[in-house]
Amino acid sequence: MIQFEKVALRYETGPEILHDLNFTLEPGSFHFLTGPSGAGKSTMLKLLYLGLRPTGGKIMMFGQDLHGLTRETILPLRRQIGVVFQDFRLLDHLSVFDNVALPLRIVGREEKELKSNVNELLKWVGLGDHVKSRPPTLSGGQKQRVAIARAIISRPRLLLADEPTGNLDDAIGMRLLHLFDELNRMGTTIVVATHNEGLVQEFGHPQLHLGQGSVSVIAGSKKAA
Amino acid sequence: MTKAKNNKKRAPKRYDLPLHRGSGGHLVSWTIGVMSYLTVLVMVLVFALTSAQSVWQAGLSGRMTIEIPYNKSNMVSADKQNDLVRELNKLSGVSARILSLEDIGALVGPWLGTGAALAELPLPVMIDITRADNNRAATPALIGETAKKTIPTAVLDTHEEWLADLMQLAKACRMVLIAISLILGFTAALTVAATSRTRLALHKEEVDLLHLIGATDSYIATQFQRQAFRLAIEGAAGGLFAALLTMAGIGMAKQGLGDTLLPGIHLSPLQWLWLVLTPLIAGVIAMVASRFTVLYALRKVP
Ligand SMILES: Nc1ncnc2c1ncn2[C@@H]1O[C@H](COP(=O)(O)OP(=O)(O)OP(=O)(O)O)[C@@H](O)[C@H]1O
Ligand SMILES: [Mg+2]
Repeated sequence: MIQFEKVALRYETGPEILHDLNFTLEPGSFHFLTGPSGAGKSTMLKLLYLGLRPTGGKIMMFGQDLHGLTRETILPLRRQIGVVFQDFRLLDHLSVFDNVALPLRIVGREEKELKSNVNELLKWVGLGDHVKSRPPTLSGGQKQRVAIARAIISRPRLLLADEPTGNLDDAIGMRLLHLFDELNRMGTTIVVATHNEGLVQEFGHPQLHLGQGSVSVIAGSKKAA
Repeated sequence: MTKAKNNKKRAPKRYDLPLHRGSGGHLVSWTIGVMSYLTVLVMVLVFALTSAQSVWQAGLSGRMTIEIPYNKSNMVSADKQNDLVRELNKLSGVSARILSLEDIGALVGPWLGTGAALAELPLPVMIDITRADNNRAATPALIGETAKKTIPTAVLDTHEEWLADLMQLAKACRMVLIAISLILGFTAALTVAATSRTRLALHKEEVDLLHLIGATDSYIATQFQRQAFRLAIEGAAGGLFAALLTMAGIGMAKQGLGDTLLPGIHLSPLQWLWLVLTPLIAGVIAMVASRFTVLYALRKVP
């Protein structure tokens, strides 16, 4: 599904932040992305959600070499990727409903059909009472769930989340990861960047561990979830 | 049901980018408003000029004057004059008559005053000739020849040179006015383009997000263009309204003058339609300007 071969990245003329990344993510897999702060977790996710092009090496995604992509051909790929950003990046002037509906509207889905989808999902993430609220009036955890709903509304094949438990207390963090597990069981490939050692141990998914700019894959201790 | 209705009503107002917030919206409306105001007035001038032109054309084409210069030592007798008028009237489609002192008085009145003792002035004899529009046989050359045969000193004035000059002038004025309105439209487009660029930069984060979610450039440009359209229409409607008020004001001031000096401005329904359409045209210009600016700027984003 995703293959990194000798991938390297530097920002502009800065030092090489990631180098010689080699790994493969199988369809339907669930990985934690770990490593100390500043190791490049967010950067790595940017590569995965096509927000950055590698400065070296080769990335294959959904069977396509990212190297040859143009502004137009990149869109169908982006539409199969859901992202929960570290800082959520919700649109403050839009209601919760409109934020979540955005990915569907972008692909021109009918308002009628989209409405029930969005409402259903918002209920599922426990925001049924906040459909019309604006993000600035929500708590950190609520915003996070809006961001998650937006990321999964169009049933992406790949779900990326950057520190999704950062603002949450452990109980809600656990619930969130159970939610991800559920999506994973329905076939979504998932990568979650996190600092939370406890959660990593608890869920036991394999890790992509970043250190000194390169990646090592740590096998999971998967117990029955 | 009411809920669905509400949603429908609200939907067009939703922008996926926070474009309604400040950042130059009023500037666009005001600029477009002022430009539309000027453009509407310029258009009215063009229409007025066009109708004046056709009035002049209708009044002067096919009309000629034969002038028999005043010559104290060699006066042309009244019989001779009448002979000439008879000869001229024989030409098909031509009607000629000698202008009486009263007629001439009416013509020169504005310059000399109505009290002038015309009989004592050395005035030429004038023969007014009207030629039916569809008559091609009685050419000015033929009329001139006929006149010379009877009275060798007679001079034919077809007014055509003068009319041609006037038409040329009117045409030039019209061109200038049309150029002015084009420049106004172009400036409006530039303003919208500049504002769109600023706003695109201002909302870079949101635009980036839309891209990451998979929005096409066209989708993003549509957000900008919809708003530019609305701002421009609002501004231009204000401009049109102000221009109509101005015209009404001029019309009222003019009533005191009577219709002699200025031909009245009577707009045809089509011309009214053009005026009323200015806001829409302004909206479309703004929409296109904004769309292409945004598309062009986005193309440069890697
Ligand atoms: N836009 C950028 N331009 C230049 N350097 C950057 C940029 N973004 C990140 N970096 C640098 O890249 C390195 C990795 O940053 P990154 O945000 O990927 O780390 P991280 O692992 O996500 O850290 P954290 O756990 O604190 O979120 C850092 O040294 C950072 O300074
Ligand atoms: Mg980070």
